[in-house]
Order: sequence, then C-alpha cells, then structure tokens
Amino acid sequence: MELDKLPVHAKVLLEVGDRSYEGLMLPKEGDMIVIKLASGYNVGIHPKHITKSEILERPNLRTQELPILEQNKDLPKLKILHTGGTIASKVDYETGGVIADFSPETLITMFPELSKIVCVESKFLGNMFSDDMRFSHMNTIAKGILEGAKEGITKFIVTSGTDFLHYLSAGLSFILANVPVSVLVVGSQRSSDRGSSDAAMNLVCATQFLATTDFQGVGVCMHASTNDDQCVILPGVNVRKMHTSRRDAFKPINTTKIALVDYANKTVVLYRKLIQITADLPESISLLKEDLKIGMIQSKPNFFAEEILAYKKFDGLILLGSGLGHFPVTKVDEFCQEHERILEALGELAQLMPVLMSAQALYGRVHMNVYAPARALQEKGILGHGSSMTPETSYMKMAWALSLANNETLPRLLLENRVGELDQIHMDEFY
Amino acid sequence: MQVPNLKKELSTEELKNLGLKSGIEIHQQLEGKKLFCNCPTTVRDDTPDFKIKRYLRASAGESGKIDAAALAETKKQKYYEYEGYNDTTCLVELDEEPPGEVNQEALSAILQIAKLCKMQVVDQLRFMRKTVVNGSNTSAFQRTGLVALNGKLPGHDVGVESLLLEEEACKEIEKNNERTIYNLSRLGIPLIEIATAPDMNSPEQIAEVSEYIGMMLRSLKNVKRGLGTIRQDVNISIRDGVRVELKGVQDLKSIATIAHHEALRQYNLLEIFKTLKERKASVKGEDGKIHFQPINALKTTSSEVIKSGLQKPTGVVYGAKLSGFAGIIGLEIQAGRRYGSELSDYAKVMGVKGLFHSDELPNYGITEEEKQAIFLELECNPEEDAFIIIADKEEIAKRAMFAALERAADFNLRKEVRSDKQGGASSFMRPMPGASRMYPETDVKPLFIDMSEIEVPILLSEKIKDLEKTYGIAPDIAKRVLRDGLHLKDLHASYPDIKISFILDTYYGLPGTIKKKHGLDVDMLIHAPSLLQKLQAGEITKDSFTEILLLLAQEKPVDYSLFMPVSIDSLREEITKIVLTMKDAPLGAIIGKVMGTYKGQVDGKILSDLVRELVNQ
Repeated sequence: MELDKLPVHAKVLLEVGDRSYEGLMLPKEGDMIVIKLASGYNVGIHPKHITKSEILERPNLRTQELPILEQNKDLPKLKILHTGGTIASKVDYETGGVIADFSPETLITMFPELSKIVCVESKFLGNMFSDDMRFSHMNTIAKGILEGAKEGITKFIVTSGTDFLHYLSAGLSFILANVPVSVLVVGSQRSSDRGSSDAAMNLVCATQFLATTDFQGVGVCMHASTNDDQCVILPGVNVRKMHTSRRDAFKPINTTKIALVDYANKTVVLYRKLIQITADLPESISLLKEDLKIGMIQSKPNFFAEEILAYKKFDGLILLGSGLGHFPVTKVDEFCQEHERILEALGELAQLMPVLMSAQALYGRVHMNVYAPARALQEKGILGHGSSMTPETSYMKMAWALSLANNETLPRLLLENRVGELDQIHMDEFY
Repeated sequence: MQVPNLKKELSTEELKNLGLKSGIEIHQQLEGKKLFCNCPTTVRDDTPDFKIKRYLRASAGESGKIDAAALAETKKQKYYEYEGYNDTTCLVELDEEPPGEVNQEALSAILQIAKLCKMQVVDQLRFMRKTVVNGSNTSAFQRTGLVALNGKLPGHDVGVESLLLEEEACKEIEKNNERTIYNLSRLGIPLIEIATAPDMNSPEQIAEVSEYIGMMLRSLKNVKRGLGTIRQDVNISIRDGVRVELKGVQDLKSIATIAHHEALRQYNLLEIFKTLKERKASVKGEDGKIHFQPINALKTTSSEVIKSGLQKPTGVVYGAKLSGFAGIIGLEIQAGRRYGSELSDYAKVMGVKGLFHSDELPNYGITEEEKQAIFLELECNPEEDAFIIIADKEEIAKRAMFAALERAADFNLRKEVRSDKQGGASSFMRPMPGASRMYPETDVKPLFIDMSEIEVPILLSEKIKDLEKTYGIAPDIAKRVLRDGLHLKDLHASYPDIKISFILDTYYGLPGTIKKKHGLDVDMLIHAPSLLQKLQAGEITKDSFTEILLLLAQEKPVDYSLFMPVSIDSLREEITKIVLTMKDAPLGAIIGKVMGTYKGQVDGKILSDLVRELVNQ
C-alpha cells in the first residue's frame, strides 16, 4: 500500500523494520506520518522508515447527535454572533479542521448554564483569528446586530478572538452609537476545548449582565483577575489587551470598569451610571468604508522622515507620540538634521489627511501645549490635543469619522466625545 | 434462593489457575527544571505567597467524546484553590502562559532509558493533553508524550510497553466536598513513566521487577530522591476479569498482598454477578430507568448518621429497592470489604460519607422496626429483595444514589482505577480513563528525536559490582558511595596516604558510632573532606576524628592544635613514669591509663606497643 493512499481516519498497521505501529491515521504533517495509537497517544513516523503499510479498517465516520433543545421562551432573548476565536472553538483534532457548527444546540450543549438565564439565538458569522478581521467583518457584525434588533432582540453577545477584540469593540461602539441595543464583545484566553477554559465563565457572566441590567451600548466582558470568581464589564472604547496570555488581559485605559459580575452568586455590582439610549431604532446605520487606509506609527529614537512619507497615499494616520504627544522634531545639534525633515513630513501629511496624535504611554492625556515640539506639531496641523483615546480607539474612531464626514467636519468629529472615549475627567483610580 | 460460592483467600495454585496477569507503571520525578518552564523542581511546604481559585469543566476530546473519568469528576461541581510562591511559581503553572520549550535534560534522561531497554523510539515526539479534571493540573490536562515503545527490561523476561515523558501534578493539600486545595510547587516537574507489559504472573515477580526498574532509573544522573519522588501503579487482571489499576502503591512489600486481594475481589464479584443473573435480580424499573424515593420511615429516626444528613440544608434521605439482592450486599469479597463497599465507593465519589444497606441493618441507630418500614415503603419482599439508603443534601444525595444504583445495575466487572487500602484491599477511585481523554498539545511543537548522542547509562548495579571488585568494599557501602556521589578514585588521589577503608569508615562508620554513643547527628559529606585533608597533611591524628566531630556536632569551636600528632619518642619518658608507678597493675589497666592520657595525639597501636615494650623490660 502506498503511504499517500492511506486514508485519514483509517485504522492502519505500519511496519518499521521488525517492529510496527498500529493506530488511526491522522492528517499528514509536512513529511511526517501521524497516527493515533489505541492508548490515545499520537506519534510521528518518518515515511522513509516505514517498510510496509496496511489498512486494517476503513474510516468510520462518526456523527454526533445533539440533544433536542427546549428553551424557556419566557426568559430574555439573547443573540450570540460568533466570529471565531477560542471562545467557542470546537476543533476537530482528527482532521485538524474547525467545526463550523454554531447552532444554539451546540452552544447550549457546551454551556448549559446559558439556557437558565436567557433564550438563546445564534448566528455564525465566521471563524477567524481576530487578527484577520477587516472593516468588512466589523460591518457584517454591525449589520447582524441591526438585523437582530429589527426582529425585536435587544441583547447581543459578539464572540471574538482576543487579539483585535478591542478594535472590534471600539469599532462597534462608534457604528452603533445611539442604536438602542446592548452588546458585549466576549473572548477567551484559554480555548474552550480545555477544562480550564475561561470561555464558559466569560459567556455566563456576560449573559447574566445583559439579562439583569439596563446596560445599553457596547462593552467587553472578560475575566477580572486570574481567579475564576468575577468577570469585569468594560467599556467598548479605551479598553486594551495588556497581556499576551493571561485571562485578565483586558484593562480599561483612562476610564473605569462598568461592572463586576460574580460568577458563583450571579450578582452584578455597577461602578458607573449606565447610559440610556433614547433614540429609536434606525432603519440603517453608517458602516465603515471598507477600503480605508489608515496608518499607525510610533515615535522612537533614530526616526526618519521617510517612515512618515510612506503613508502619503493613505487616508489617515495615527501617531503614537512619546510623552505628552511628541515626535523628534527639534534640531538640537548636527546629529539631528533629520528632525527638521520629520516636522516637514508630518506637516505635509497633515495637509493631505487627518493626522491624529495618541500617546504611546497609553495612560494619561495627550497634551500638546506643554513643550515646544508638540506646539510645533499643532501648528503643522496635527490633531489630538487633549485626547485620552488609546491608539486603537483613535484608529477606529478615525475609520468611523473618515467613513462619515467630509474634510471640514472631520477634525471636529474626531475630537468630540461620542461614546465616552474622550471623557473630560481623569480620575486617580484610572491608573 | 441461589447463594454465591465465595472464597476468603486464594492459594498460589488457585491464583495461577485464575490466570493472574500483572504489569506495573513506575513514575519517577526528575531533578533540575520543570518540563515546560524554568521554575525549579523543589517541592515546597512552606507558607504560600498567594492563592488562586479556579473551576474546571469536562470538555470533549478529539473524538468528540467526553472521557468517563473526566465526567465523573465534573459531576462533583467543585472548585479548586492553588497555592503558589512569588519566586518559584510562574505563569505556566498558573495556566496563564503557554508552555515553553521541552526540558532537554529530561528528554535526554528518558532517551537513555529507551536505549537501555532497546525500545522503538518514535521519530517525532508529539505531546498530548491528557484530560485531568480532579483539579491536580491547572490546565485541566497533563502534558504527556510517548517517547518509545516495545522494549525489554534488561536481564528480565518482561516487556517494556511504553515510555512516557510527562508533567507531574500538583500536590494535594486539603480536600472537602466543595473544594480541593493544591500546592503548585510540584506541578510540571518532569516525570518518566515506564510501563511494563502484563508479563508478570506472580506477586513476587512484580516486586522484583519493580525494584529493578527503580534501580535502573536511579542510574540516571538527574532523578529526584526521597519519599514521594517515585510512585508505582500496579495493573492486575485475572483471565475472566478486567484490568484494574491500583494507584500509588508505596510499599514494594505490599504488592504481593495487593495482587492476591485484587484477584480475590474479581473472582468473588464474578461469582456474585453469576448469582444475581441466575436470580434475575434487577435495579432498574420497568421503564429501564433508575428510581429512588425519599424515605418517610426515617423522618424521626434516632440514627445519628441519618439525622445529620437530614439536618443539612435541603437534607433528604433517599432509598431504593434492589430486587433479588437479598443477602448479597453484605457478602465479604475482600478482607474487610463487602459487595456493599463497592456500591458505597461509587456513592462516596459524589460527596457522601457512605450508604446503608438492608443486610447490615438493624444497626447504626436504625431499628428493626424502621428497617421493616423501609421494606414496606419500597415495596420489597424481605426474603428476596434488598435496599440501600443515603442521607445528605438533596443534590449530593441524588447524585450519590444514582451513582451507587447505576453500579449495582451493572453485573460486570469494570475497568477501574482503585486506591490501595491497608491490608491489601482496595477501593474505587474513578473509571479507567479511555483514549478519548487525549488530544494534541498544540502549544508544543512536535520534536524530532535524535538518538545519535544518547549513551546507555551504566546501571547502578554494575557500578556497585565494580566498586566491590576494585576496592573490596561491601555492597551496602558501595550503594551509599554511589548515592552520595563520592568518587573513590579522586579520594584516593587526594589522600594517597590514607587507606580507602579508613576513608569509607570516616564517611559511613563514624556517624553511626557518634549517633549511638552520644545521640548526635553529624553530616560527613560536610565534615569529612576537611578532616581527611588535615590528616593527609599530618595536622591531626586518625584517633582525633571522633572528638573533633563531637565538638563540631555541638557547634563548639575546635582547637585543632590539641590534636596535633606527637612523636612517640618525646613521650617515652613520661610514659615510662606511668608504667613504673603502675607496675603491679595488670597490663590492660596500664594501657588504658596511657591511652586515656594521650589519646588523639598518638596512634593507639603505637601507644599500646610502647607500653608492652616497657612492661616487658
């Protein structure tokens, strides 16, 4: 039997010299033949070592039966929109593929607690790493929410991978501002195929929060700490993934949490007055222009004007300024010849597109009046003085504003508070 | 009614006829760093710096099935607390960071064993996640990889089925129905698991093989030593029975008794099942489902056990009829354990203290009248049927009742993991985990195995023989030399004028003498080098060692000048005086006096020779 003809999932016998391996054929990985032994262990065997192979049993495809679902229709309705990520990943490890089944039945089978709190509807929008998300995807999600709202649903959970989760939550915050819905973007940092996953608790707490409070707008629900005791509800804007792997990776920046939800007791403690959206449900919403090109660039030593000019053909640029919102634009000595060119380059771009300053320190406000370099930047037309938006929120706000406004209204739109992203007061507890 | 024919014990001949088969699994911890992070492998019991709380849930494995063992655990709905230390616990142990690169020293160690046992080493090591939902791993799985299979134990007719490199679990600190507390310091220590084929058929053989494997593992450089660093599980089956895994057998000597008792348990249960089938006994109702009901007859009972169950919030006492079970539940299947104990084990796993069955009543404060009332309430015929009762919080009692009845309804032996109890008997811990508890650890890259630089370790047994031959020392001393990592060749080179036998006596004889005579402990690995060095340099005498060590053990200052060797010629005159004043005394007394005076300064033999010479003059 030729090795390439051994079907995946077949029970096979592979001889390696005078010894043999018997097991279930798994998809090949590079050159390696991978089989699952009866003990459950997978082993990799190099094909050149295999002297003989034989199929013992043809693949036996299984079908998984799901229980018939009876939901309590008297409970609040909740729609879950799935975009991917580890929160409801059901990886089929036999084939290596992702199971795209995201029916309410599957969800309730995975998270039975949900059916005691709400009556679940669900929609599968895709399964992607959140870093593959583009504006088109965000628009699809926003449309999905509007669609659900038109059917009378007001509570939504959007599941997402965590890497770009804060871009998504900010994007939705701007697009859905003034739409009377409650949306929580929920992710997980440990995939739901493992027993220690944070997915169930994040989902249950988000559901509990939506079902029992008058919250409106867009927020984020994740673990409050490394403990499985409380989840934190954060605003959709000025929230950020601050750790690559911890459960409590998401932190509010220049703002405060909305609430804590206790997992065991199912209680909610509010930390803010909830906003009420009085507007009626709109017929349509303005979406993001999907071909927008917005750059993002960080101030650093040995910066070159060229780096800025590379964005000449873009629609907008976000700067991550050092300190209060600076770039190296002062010619201190002969080593700093480039700095004059940087200032010129920034000025040139500010003529072509909106250039918005944010702070690489993340915490604290951009203040471009204090030092001469920043004052020079302001004179060149760089926007952002007084902003307390994170770079990611600035980016999504720029995208939203560019999609909506003309050149004249744009600066005003960028620096006017819309959903709490430009709070006027910075409290001590924010940092 | 048919009665099963049970046995109290099995003779060697009967054991053989039953087809006893056994294999063992040995888990050995390695020293150094953890398998997937750089934390040290020190198991700690000091006050932890922090504590975290987690829940775990059963999740479907690769095949979509939820593993039986995992499900049994999550049914208990518990939470877990993990204790850690700021300086030795990292985010990997907290399940907050993906695993790092595989510890190469651990990998090299296990490959040495693979080579030694002439095993089939996999081309590519692929780590798996083995679902563990008792909380002992923060990730809810144990990372484990199959390194090699199909080998043979050197010098034995016993196959080595598999060799696994895995992570050690957390150490359990405290446990109750609601939560278990674990310490994180042990989690992630590299562990070698070596599993033999079921090639052993006598309890004695199991013990010998297990000891051999222990020796083989200790031949590696980086194994951990001491209590708890090596654990063994014994797999036992009889021909018509099933494979049962007995966990954590600490004592090699008890293996024989354990094997005997397990064979007996399986034999007796098979007899009971045969009888139950003949009697057409049943536990389930006509609808094929398990039923139980609250027992009114015990509402005002004076039984303390039942009362304490009822007094809990939502407390309830449940009972169920076991039709055709009369007289069976109380039968003894193993020393001190009845068929009822088997059912009770299943209930206990769900969090109750145990159950009562009709065969053991009236007792424990339940009266004959109450027993009859229960029979009546459950519509039992006391001549034919039996019942079980459980009292606890409603949720717990329900789960426990269901578990016990579900076991009673099954007239088959089950593949179980059991824990060994004193006296050779064992109790049920969890179902034998299946292959569905395994799925790939995608966070660790598959590793190509290179055997070209792996050397077969020299076995401890060979090293011992070599020492015996080269230096003529006793095997038990040789063992200690190897354990302590002493290099006799180097010692000989460092102290060329001192005999090896004296050096070894310094290390291994003296401390015993001092302990016995003075009740003091001295650590020779610390003190011996400096004493031997001073002796070699001629700064102290051989005979001064005990006195110096006594001072050191009491942490007193030592004035080494007092133990300087004195030339015998300079003492000749003084000793002559002593001999003259004692000339009428027996020789022994004179020697005693002289030795007492100059002991430690001059070699004892030289002193006694001089006294003899002077007396003879």
